[in-house]
Amino acid sequence: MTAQPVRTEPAPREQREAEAVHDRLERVWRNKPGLWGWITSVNHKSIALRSIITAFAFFALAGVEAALIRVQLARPENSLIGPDKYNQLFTVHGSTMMFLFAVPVVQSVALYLVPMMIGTRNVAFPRLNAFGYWTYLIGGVLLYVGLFTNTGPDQGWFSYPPLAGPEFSPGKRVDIWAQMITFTEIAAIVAAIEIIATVFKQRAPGMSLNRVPLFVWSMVIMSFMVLVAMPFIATASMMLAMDRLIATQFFNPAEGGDALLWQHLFWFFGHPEVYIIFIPALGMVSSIVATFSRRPVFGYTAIVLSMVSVAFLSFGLWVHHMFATPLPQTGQSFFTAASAMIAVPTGVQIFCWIATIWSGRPRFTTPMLFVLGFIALFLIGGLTGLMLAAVPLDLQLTDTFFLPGHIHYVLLGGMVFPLLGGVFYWFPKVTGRMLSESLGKLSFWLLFIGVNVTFFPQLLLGMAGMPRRVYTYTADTGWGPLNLTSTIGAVLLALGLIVLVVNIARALASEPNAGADPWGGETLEWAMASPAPDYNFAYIPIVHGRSALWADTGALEAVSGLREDRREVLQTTMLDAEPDARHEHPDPTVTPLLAAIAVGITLIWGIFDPIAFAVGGVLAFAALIAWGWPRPEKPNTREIMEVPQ
Amino acid sequence: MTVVGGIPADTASATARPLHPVLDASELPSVAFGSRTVTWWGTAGFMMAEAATLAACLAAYYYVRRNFTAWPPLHTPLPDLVIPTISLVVLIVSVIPCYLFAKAAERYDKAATQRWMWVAIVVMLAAVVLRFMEFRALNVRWDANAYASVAWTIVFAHFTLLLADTLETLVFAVILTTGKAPPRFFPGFSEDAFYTYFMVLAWIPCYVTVYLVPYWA
Repeated sequence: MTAQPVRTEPAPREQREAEAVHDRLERVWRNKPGLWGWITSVNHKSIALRSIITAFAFFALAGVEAALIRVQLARPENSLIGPDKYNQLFTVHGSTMMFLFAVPVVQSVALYLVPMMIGTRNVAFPRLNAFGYWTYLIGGVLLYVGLFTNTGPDQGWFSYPPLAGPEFSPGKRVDIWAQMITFTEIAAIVAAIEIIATVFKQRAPGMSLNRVPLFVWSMVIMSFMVLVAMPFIATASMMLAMDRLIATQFFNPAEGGDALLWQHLFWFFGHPEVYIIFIPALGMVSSIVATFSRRPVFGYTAIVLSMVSVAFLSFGLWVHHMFATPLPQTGQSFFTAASAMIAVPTGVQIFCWIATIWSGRPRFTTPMLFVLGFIALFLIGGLTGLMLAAVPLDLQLTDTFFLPGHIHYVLLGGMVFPLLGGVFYWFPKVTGRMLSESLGKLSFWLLFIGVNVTFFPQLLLGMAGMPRRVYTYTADTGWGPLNLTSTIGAVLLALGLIVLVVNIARALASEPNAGADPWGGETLEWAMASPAPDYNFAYIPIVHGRSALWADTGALEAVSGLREDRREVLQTTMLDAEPDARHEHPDPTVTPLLAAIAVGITLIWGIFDPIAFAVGGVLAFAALIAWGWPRPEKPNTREIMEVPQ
Repeated sequence: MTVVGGIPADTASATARPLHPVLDASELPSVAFGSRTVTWWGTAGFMMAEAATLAACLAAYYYVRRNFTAWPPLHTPLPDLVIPTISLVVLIVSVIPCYLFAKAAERYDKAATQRWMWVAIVVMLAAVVLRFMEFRALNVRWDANAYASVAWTIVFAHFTLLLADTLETLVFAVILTTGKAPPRFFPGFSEDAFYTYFMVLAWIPCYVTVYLVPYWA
């Protein structure tokens, strides 16, 4: 088999035409200038990028909190941080990582890349996308205003009543946590709807469902999970807030309420949450493995079906977080079996990647190293998870340091490592600049060694009986040396991240050097210039195979005829992606921000007074009218209307 | 170029791929209906999230039920059935004008859409008023016990959906009546009715749980 010849530079006339098209589209699709342009942007790349940066800012804050925790625990009877501040630090650390970093960052990466990978110009609901970002930002700022004013939540990131109830947590600390949850869940749900509608209706012609990139599949599956899981935590946190504010009795056993009700509702969300974070990471891994093994991922169908099975199974596991509560024996056995079963589809995927690397021509670049690091660390995370799935062992290990050790192997190994691999992989696309490979490898090794030095001792400490969430311990416990080791590991982690920041700063200060497709990528985002223009594709590409860019090595066939004087996107049919309709998108607008502010006023005021929900409801309604009210028709509007049968 | 196993050994490129138009989309419709639109999928997504919310509330109801020997709990009166049942019937009736304005919108029949939309609003506003009265029909304050809290929450959670849908229909009717609705708004009218069907359907298990289960217990 021979490859098609790579097309040489276009002829001068074609070049001039392409530039004219670029100018027209750029005029229509770019943001307005200045601060107003920043506030009113509805461009998926602008919003997703600021959301990614916001998420990493919260990651840095959570990192500082973690560092303080590790310094406090480095030696016995340390007095750097008192118990109250310590409680706030670990609660805000966990809450930030789960709600303000992990979910927002994977969804933002999706909102940046999915439209480019499926060959469209923007997400399906650009204003809703902007609204989601502002809501998330307000929720995150609320949590940190709480922390910096000594009103930081202190009940642990899963907020169990009765500790989190009105009797044992007076004041507003828990309420801030509960409303932060509401903000972030609204943002997560709208982002999920964005992703699903965009992928189902705006794929490039030819990209039938069985040609959708694995990365995109992972994001669609994650989005469906968000739609089912997030309402449970939002409902639970609303019940908690109501117990505290208007004396409902959901979690009060004296009036027939039940503290375990919280645990069920929370973990029905909380366990899928782990996979909501993890499945997108699998998508990133698939992209990286394909490109750097120079072959399509082995077992496409098996991987998609595995991700779907993991998504379903993850909703049947929540009780394994509650083995230390009085549960019927049958229930324990069922959830133990279900917990073990999820290892099967996860294993299928790992074997598929290994087969891909084995049968390909791997290049061990930094993104690939992070993928290999992920496989190793996630294996330890998964195996310690299997240990916890066994009820007798779980009873011994519950509430010990084994748990933080396990969850950090899972989440740092299973999510942060692929994400950092993704940062190295897509950074050239986003900025037009390459990150340094040597600094990248230095970061990788510092982080890889750091994770093990930090968290392996925590597994041992847990087995030695050290409880989690205690601010100090006595010397005679013998836990000092392992804790000190763990703190040294945290220093390595911090160094690895500092090297990454230096790497990024150096790259941003340098001249663009990446070109459109520095890695020889498989998917459509690499067909564009780096950074991609505001409108993404001048013409919508037509896809001829699963590996869009490897199936056609020269020019790509494309669709013309979308209007260049307004924001128009191509809609295609859901299964086969045949061209179906044109759809006009909104211009930049401030209404999403106004709606988010109305929601912000409602929820924050609602911490203090239930009347806020009436007043805020009116404000939000006003903002939504401004959002949806028809704009004056543009000149030369020509609607082609289809009358359904 | 070296090719191994059908894949070029290296496709790295400094310039963007040229795009060569071979299809023309300019005559594709700019207004379509139903699952062909992104709005339909967006609405379906919100329905899924809202169904999950109501499911969480219902799960809480049946969970706390296990903590009581009597249901409703001792010294707590049964809910009234008259107002809630009238309210349910009114809500189900509202589906008819919604269906009619959706079908009219799909024919771009502005007059009929407008007419049936206002009829739908009158019926839905009646449902909103009745829902307010339902809180009284529960015969218990929300803070009395866990039964009261969860019953109030189910009724209130669904009330927010009913209110939002009514207000949305009202805004659409005003836009239509003031003559500001371009053809591309008509699929939105159709989706509005689609949402109402869901909202009414979602109420039925809630009605059965809150009002009938206490009588059966």
